[in-house]
Amino acid sequence: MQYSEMTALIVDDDSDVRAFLRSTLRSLFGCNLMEASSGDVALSLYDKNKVDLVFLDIQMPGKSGLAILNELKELDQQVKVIMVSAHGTMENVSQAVNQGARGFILKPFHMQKIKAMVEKVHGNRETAH
Amino acid sequence: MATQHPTVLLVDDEKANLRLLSDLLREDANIVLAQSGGQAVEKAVKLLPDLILLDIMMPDMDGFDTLRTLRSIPMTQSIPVIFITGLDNPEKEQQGLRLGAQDYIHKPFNAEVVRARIATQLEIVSQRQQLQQLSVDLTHASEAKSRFLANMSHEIRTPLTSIIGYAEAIQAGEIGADEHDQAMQAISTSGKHLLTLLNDILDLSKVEAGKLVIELQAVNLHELLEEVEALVRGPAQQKGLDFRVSIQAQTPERFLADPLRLKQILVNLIGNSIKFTHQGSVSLEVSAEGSHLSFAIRDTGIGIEQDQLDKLFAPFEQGHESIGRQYGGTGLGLSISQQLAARMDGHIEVSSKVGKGSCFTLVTALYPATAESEEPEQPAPMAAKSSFRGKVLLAEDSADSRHLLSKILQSRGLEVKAVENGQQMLEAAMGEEFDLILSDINMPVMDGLQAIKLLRAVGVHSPVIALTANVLEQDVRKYLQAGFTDHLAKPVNRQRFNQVLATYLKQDSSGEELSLPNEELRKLKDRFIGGLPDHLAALQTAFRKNNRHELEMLAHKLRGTAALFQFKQLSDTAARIEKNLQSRSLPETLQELTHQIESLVTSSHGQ
Repeated sequence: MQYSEMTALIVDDDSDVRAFLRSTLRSLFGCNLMEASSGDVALSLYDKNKVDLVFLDIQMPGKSGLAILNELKELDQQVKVIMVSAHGTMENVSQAVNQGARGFILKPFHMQKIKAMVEKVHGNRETAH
Repeated sequence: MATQHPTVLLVDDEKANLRLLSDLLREDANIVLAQSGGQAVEKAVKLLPDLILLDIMMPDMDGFDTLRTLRSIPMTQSIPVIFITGLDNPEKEQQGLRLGAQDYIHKPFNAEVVRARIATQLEIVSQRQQLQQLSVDLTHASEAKSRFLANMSHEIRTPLTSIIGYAEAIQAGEIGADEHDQAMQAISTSGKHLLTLLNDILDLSKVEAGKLVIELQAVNLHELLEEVEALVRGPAQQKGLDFRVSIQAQTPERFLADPLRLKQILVNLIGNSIKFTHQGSVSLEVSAEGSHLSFAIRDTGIGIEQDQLDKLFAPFEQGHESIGRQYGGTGLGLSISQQLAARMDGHIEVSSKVGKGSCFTLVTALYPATAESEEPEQPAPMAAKSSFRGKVLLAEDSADSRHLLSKILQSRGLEVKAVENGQQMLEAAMGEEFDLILSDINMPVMDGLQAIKLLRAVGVHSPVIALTANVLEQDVRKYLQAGFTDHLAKPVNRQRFNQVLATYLKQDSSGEELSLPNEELRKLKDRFIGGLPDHLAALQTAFRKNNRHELEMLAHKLRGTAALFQFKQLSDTAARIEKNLQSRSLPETLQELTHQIESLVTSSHGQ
């Protein structure tokens, strides 16, 4: 699949972070983007649309990232989720991995990291030049 | 059962009885005869029979007296005794058993009964002997291992002394700049020798199981001897010994051998000679005879007693127990050397005279070097040094190794991030993309194996190289299964290190940092700064209402986003608030944050 046809869903309560990820993903892949500031919005968006990849903040008010991850898995066993966090406590990382997250990235973001992660998780490993 | 015939002493004053018993037992045992108690004791002490058949009724010294005497002499006290008696007297039998007799045979003799009872006693004797031998063997093995451990520290200490000594002398300025190269060479040589020693110990089981692989390659005799000389010259000089090498004219200059193993044997034999020589010389003479090469090492040392020569090549053995204490050594060297020589279709001969000196000769098969066996010249390590581009993550808990490896990597043009344990490695790799990750295995907090599993699980697919001292095949297989891409043995070999870098890093990699277009980043930053006053107001409200949870959330969020836009100071201050919610300095920190935000907002408006 071409990256430009891919749809990514960004879930973060912080609009600045969403804006940064949006710009980054658009600049890197030119893909379609959707955003959600809470778990419930995210779940409903995922349910109604064809989403290829989810960036999910781990620490959000209300429903936590890990709880949302669980519900996403219930909706779709094959969901591809990259967890996003400002700090990778081992509990969080292990739990996310156990719950089936495909990747984990830490803030602040490095574009190179996001690029490599998307290439890895999205399953298209062609080397970009 | 003992393979030899047991010796049985028959004691009876009546010749007819002696003859009868002799006839019965002749096929199963060596028979010795005695006609009185006194004679019996005398022969028992002299011959130490395996079993004594003793008549009770004898003139002068009867059977009971004889038994008492035998039991009082240490050498004979445990020899089993069977009484011969014509009496059917239970009291006498009891008395005999109390004195230590093992059994009774009654006259007149029943051949089958006599044979069976004697066989039983001899079987017990044989089993006891086996147990005693086992016990001796076990004690001996245990002592040998203890000795080995004690001596080991000495063997390790010697090269360490040279390493530490030179290093400290350089630090103290005692060695002039012009001698630095030589000192460095000595440090490197001793270090490598230690490594060899370590490999020796690990190899011992392999050698013993015959699993050691001999790798033949073309060897230049002069180069090989120079390397050997470099290792032994120092120790010889220190003891004031003359060390000479001579090569007989017909010796070929090139031949096929395993240079590592050949050097190992020679260094070991020469090292031994130096160790056991207090004055005079040690010489190495190389010659070729027919299809054999011979390396004779002669010394003018203390020599070895003839009865010790056979034991020399047994593992853990040294000529005398006191030798280990006085001279050190693992007691493994000769054993390994002899077995290595055997693997090279050769052997080691020894001749020696106490007080005059010894001569150890290694004889190996001579395989001529053919044109195809020419080793391609290895590029010198310095020549192989090339530049790379890229980012490398290094996880290593030893500060010295971390520093050294970072230096080497940086000298190759690489950007290095060095961390101290698996957890830090994981955090770093989740934050940034690295072109190559080098990871130690044994680290505190989180070891390399745990870390690699998590690394792979969180979607890090950079090549990860295991840096490890465990080079056993099954360990390496385990690392690769866990997700490591490759492994590098510690201490790191330069050439192999270069190879790994060349394999996993692109030399021509453009390696440019990706970043958002300036204009776009600028807009995002402005947006962020524009939202800061609201964020600050929310923080202050949470503080006033003493809502710690809300405060923590807001500070956490600010820390992450500020870092995203590279406002490091702001991010740090937010982090301090997040971490010190209970601290008394909280109002001050909040004040600081307020100033920082105000100044950001002001300067943003001013532009």
